[in-house]
Amino acid sequence: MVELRLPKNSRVKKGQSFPAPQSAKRTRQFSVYRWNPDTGENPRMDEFEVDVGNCGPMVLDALIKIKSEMDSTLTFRRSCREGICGSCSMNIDGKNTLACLHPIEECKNTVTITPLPHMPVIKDLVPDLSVPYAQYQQIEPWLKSTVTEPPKERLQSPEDRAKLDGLWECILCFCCTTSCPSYWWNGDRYLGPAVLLQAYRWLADSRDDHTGERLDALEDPFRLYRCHTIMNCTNTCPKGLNPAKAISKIKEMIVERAG
Amino acid sequence: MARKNYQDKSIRSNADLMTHLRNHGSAQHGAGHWLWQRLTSLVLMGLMIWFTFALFEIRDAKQNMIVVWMAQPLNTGLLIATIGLGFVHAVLGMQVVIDDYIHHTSLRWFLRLSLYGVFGFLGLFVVLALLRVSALVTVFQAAQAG
Repeated sequence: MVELRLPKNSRVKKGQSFPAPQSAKRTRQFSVYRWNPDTGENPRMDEFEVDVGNCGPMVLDALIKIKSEMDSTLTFRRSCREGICGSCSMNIDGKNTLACLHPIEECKNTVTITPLPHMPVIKDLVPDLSVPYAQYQQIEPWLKSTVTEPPKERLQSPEDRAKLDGLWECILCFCCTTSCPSYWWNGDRYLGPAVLLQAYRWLADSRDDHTGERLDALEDPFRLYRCHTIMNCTNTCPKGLNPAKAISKIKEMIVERAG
Repeated sequence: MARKNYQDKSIRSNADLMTHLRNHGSAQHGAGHWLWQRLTSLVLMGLMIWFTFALFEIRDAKQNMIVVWMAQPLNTGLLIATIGLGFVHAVLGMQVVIDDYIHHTSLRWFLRLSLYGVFGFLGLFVVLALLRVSALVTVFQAAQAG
């Protein structure tokens, strides 16, 4: 059932403050969510005054600076720092995005950083994404074809290949899935926008001939039809993709095959 | 790692999770609900325009004239369509709200069935009432003419 308040041990408290060094000329306040599973304490918001005059331009640069110069216990995922690995997805100023693609300049005066919403937290800014990963595995995101494997590559016309544009670029950062209220309420049964966009990526592929089976697996009031075109997914996608459109295409395909 | 927010408490590992997801399978429906919700809303848009004009037309009429107006076959038909499809649309919409927010399976089924029951009964009641008005007026008019 829907809970209107967070459980007692999840309520966020005020945390520590870390001032900038004396030498800092241009500073910016970063308010960062902290939670350590080992202490048993409530989560807290720590305030870091970061010397942005001596820091890279992106929010991820600031987080790395905090970790290396102010508090080495700050925990977050990051890898490629160029928006292609999807590791540093988090909520910045109330919007899910990739820290490495989000310029500090575009943030509010105090930059508020929390983990992706409505996911169990492992530590600080690291959410537990095992449910969406399992759901991704469930849609069998690989080419399934009964055609005898050709000696070289499976050919595809430029037109058919173009149908995958706007789909293959998804990096599975789950910014969209964790921004979706339907996923918040029914995350264990609704597949969520990221996984459904991936499902459509295989439905749209001319080389895949398991479309019928894939549609069978998706036609379910909870797996697919919990999407109420709220559009948070499309609004938040840091790669500028449109999961809501992909979901509506799946619904279209299911109606079309019925007659 | 135990997933505290997970509705099914027996799920403790990724293997459990995959088994759970596979066991659930797909219910193989949902498309009809989705399609009917859209179709009824389209038809209702047209019917509501007709209904607004109709209300405007009979705004000053006395009760007996409104009854005669309701008994005209086209008006009876359109009124039945408006109320019937309106109820279907309402049931479909309410079911979405129930399915979204009620996670307790037996409570969800209880609310769904109550919804069908209440709206089914009301719908039947309204349709029969409209047909009765239409029949009575026809009989009355026939008696007067005879």
